Amino acid sequence: MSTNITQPIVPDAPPPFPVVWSDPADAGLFWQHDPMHFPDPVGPMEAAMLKRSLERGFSHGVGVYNAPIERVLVASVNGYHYQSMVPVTGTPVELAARGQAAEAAIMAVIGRVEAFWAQDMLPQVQQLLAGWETFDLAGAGRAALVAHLDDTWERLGRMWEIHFETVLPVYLAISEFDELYRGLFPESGPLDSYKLLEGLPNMTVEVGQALWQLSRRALVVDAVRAAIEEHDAAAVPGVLKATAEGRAFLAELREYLALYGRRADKWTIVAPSWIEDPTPVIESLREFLRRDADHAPAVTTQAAAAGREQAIAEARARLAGYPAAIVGQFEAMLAAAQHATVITEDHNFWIDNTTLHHLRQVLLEAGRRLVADGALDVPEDVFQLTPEELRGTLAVPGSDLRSTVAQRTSQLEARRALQPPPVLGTTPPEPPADDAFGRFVGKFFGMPPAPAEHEDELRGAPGSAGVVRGPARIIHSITEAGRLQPGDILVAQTTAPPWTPLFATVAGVVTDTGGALSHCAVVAREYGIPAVVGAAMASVIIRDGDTIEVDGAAGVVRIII
Amino acid sequence: MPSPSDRPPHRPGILRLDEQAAADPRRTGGKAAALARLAARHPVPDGFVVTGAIEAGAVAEAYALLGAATGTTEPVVAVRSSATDEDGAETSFAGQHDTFLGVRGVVALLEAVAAARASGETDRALAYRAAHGIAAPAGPLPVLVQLLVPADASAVVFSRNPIATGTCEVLINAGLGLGESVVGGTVTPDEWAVARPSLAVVRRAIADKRRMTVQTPGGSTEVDIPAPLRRLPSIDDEQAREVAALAVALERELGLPVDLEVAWAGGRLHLLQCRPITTLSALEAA
Repeated sequence: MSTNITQPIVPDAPPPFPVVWSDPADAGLFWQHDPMHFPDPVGPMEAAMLKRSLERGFSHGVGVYNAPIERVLVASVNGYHYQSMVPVTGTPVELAARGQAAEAAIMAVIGRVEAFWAQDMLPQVQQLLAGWETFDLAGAGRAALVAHLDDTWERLGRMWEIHFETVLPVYLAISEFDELYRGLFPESGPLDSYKLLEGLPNMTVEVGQALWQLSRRALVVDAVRAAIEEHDAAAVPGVLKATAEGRAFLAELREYLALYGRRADKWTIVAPSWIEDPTPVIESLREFLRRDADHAPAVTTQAAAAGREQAIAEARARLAGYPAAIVGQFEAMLAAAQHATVITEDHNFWIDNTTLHHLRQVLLEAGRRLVADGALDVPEDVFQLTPEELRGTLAVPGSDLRSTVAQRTSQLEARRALQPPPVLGTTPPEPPADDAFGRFVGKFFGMPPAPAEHEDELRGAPGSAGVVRGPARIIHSITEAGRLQPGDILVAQTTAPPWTPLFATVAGVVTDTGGALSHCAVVAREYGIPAVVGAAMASVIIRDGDTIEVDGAAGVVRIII
Repeated sequence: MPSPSDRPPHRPGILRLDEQAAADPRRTGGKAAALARLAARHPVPDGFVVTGAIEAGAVAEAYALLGAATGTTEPVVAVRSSATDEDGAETSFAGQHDTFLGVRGVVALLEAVAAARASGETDRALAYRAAHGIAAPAGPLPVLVQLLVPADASAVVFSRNPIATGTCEVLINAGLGLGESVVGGTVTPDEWAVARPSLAVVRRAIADKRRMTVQTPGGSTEVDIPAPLRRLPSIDDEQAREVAALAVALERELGLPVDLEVAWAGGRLHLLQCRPITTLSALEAA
């Protein structure tokens, strides 16, 4: 291994962030940290998971559409996730031709995006999931488990291929509809186009509405209601077990979790999924119990749907005197963007959350075997092993990995204090292209925010329109969700899909990362609450309890006190 | 729709476009008279010409009859001046008089008719006349009122290529929406060349079209075409051949190379204007 040390491009990161590339050529590439999905440093197992999933999946995604990206590389630098999109090289003529071919290939899929997902992609996803769901983890012999572990890595890679083959046309459909809308209505605000895409039924909405139904049943059974309202969320299942009504409700909760519980806090394998630890679900139930029927998730969705239909009717009225070809394109892109908006949620449910859940279950089962062998102290220690170490020790027991795990665990803890620079390596000579792909990348990952105009002001990207003032709650993990009160403004580095129920409680959202198409912005619009995304250091600068004002359409956060 | 003979003539001072008298340029002006002659055999939008003093009741009545033929009470119309000597074979006055597109309702119509008439007397028009040695018309300027074609695409068509005069082809410049952006040159149009007499498409160039004229509730306006749609073809090959055939037929009827303004709405072709190609005649004479 060579030791090629490169200074970070951003020189003012206070703690040293030494960069050691395993391949010296990596120093010549442009690497970007992705704090929206991976804000925290990760151990070796998760780093390997990200590398295998994203390098294979993302490279497949750009390859299948012939996008102007050769491949995507992933590096774990001091445990932090960096990725590099290696651009295609060629003459300007070759590159332009490739760009056009990619756009044509993606537009062809966008034209049939609903069938593309429902008929081409989702059945493959479900088939891959069946491979995990039908395997008896606890009952598997050692050799079968080793083989299943190998299968799991392979299945994971294929799953992420499907993921990126899906998300590229899906996000481009929304991004290009936004471009079209702004082109047709140049005086419109930055978020107006998304109004035409809101309030559509999707898996995220379904998960929330099913939980609401569960909360209505808890509401009418005194023993259940009292158990949820009067005890710590973590203690609630124990309390419920003590009564017959409680046990009946627990059975219903398990049914709910069996359908919707394969998801964890953030994009990580180290956090338990809802099935393993339903505390976040119980927190949401408790919050739902405080609400009357006027504040049911369905009411929010219906309001968003009514707003959507009104915005569509207004747009159609404004296009009444336009050529049929233009109106036809508008309608086609609108339909595609609506289907795509549903798929942005549904793919998270089927692919991201579920895959992480299954990988975690397989790894934990292997961990339990290693605990039995005396190689580890607790099953969760597998996350401090590399896949190769795990497989080797599982197949041929005998090594004691506890000191390795202890050393890596303390190293990971130390790394949490580091501040990863947003970019590493070599700045690309060319800015991102102003083509469909480049525009989408900006809207998804966010662009550098404009400098603030006033001292007490933070600038980000518009996420969801509206102005709201309230106390800031800095939330680092979904386990802190219990601190949120109605009227609070959720301030976080990033919000993962499992955080969605929190949007029903809070009055506004501010995140450090993301753009108008990021998950946080999409969900905030769904819930009709103001959001500013990509506000850089908001979660560091704003203090818990500060009164802040969020101006979603302007992309501005003001610190009042 | 009733045939011309079924319909009563309008009150004095107003002529229906399909009346025989409307074909007389001394009464309806060059532009309207030319259209009246074409209306007998070609898909010219229905309309009338205000030839005398503008009398509100008579204009309203003619407007209502125009609407009745299309099943609407307030049809959207185009209002244009039709100078008596305009569109003669010697000089083209194209663009010298104001045109009002998308006019709707009697009040707006009366305003537009008065404005179109007044424009005949503007300095601009007078200067043009002076430069070309043409006297101002004696009577009131005739004003043409025609159903507006809610155009999906519009084109200017030359029955002979006016630039490459030796070639035997119909040249079509087409854009999206109403014709003003194509006629006014604010958009780089799509271009077709159709061979004659075979009507084979010999050239097709889809342009990066940045502007189009669209209908608005109060009239029309020119807007930007959003980037993703700028290369949307304004018409297809079949439409190019259809309009080329019309141009060839009109050239045969008039006995001179012609340029046309046409529009398509809901797939149907409409002839908006037809004039001899003055520049081409000059070239060929030279």
